[in-house]
Amino acid sequence: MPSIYVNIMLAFATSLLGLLLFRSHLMSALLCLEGMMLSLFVLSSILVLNNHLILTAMLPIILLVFAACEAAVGLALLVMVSNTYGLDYVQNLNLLQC
Amino acid sequence: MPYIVFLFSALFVIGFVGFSSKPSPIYGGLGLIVSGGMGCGVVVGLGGLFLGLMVFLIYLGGMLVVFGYTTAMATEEYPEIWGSDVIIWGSLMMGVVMEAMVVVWMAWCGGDLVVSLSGLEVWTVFDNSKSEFLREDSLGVASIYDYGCWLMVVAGWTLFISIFIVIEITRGR
Repeated sequence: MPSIYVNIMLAFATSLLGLLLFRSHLMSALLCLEGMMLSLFVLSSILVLNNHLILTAMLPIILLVFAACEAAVGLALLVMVSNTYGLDYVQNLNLLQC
Repeated sequence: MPYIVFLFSALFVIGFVGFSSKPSPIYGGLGLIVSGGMGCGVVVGLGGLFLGLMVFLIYLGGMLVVFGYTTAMATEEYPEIWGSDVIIWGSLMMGVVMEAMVVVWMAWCGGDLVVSLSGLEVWTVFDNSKSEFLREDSLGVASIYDYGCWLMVVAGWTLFISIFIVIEITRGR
């Protein structure tokens, strides 16, 4: 198996880890989500180009479409949090505290 | 040529480590731009010119511009850069060491090809008398209109509905 796939999957795992471990900003988590989408795009493009699966070349483009929708909804939520609290710190999301 | 593409993919991972270690989001956006450029280099190096153009135009030029504006709106006064915190330094060092170990392992004992290249374009014979060159990636994407027309309708409808979803979310009270 070509070893470039290892690098791309490692990039996916790195940004998944970055998504799951919060620091202070909600925006950083959204950026890690976008990073996951980018690594999936590159992975599926490499699969299409290496194995000459020509009709599967729809897959990266459709992935980009749905990643754009998801980014739009995530940014809308972040804008609403930022309008209420001034900044997008995750410690502001504490309405459901124990 | 395979080694250049592998180098681009190693720099891709370094860029990912750069924004996953979570400095302030504006520097995370910068890391994502660098990673997008490296990912485009990987895809273009394997012959997919159209898909690389999609990365730059739509991903970097569309989505990341929107992220940049939103970050500029919701950012703090003193953003923390990569060298400002022990946590960021630690995750950066861990990520770089991990990627260096992967690169050394692949260069020394990864016996297989780095990237399996078998031609940049695909010959296709249409009929008995002639043959042509095709760009396989743009032909495949153009088949969204042909074989994937229902997928195109669903994706277009999803984009349309997401506008209304975003308007509804940002309506406030």
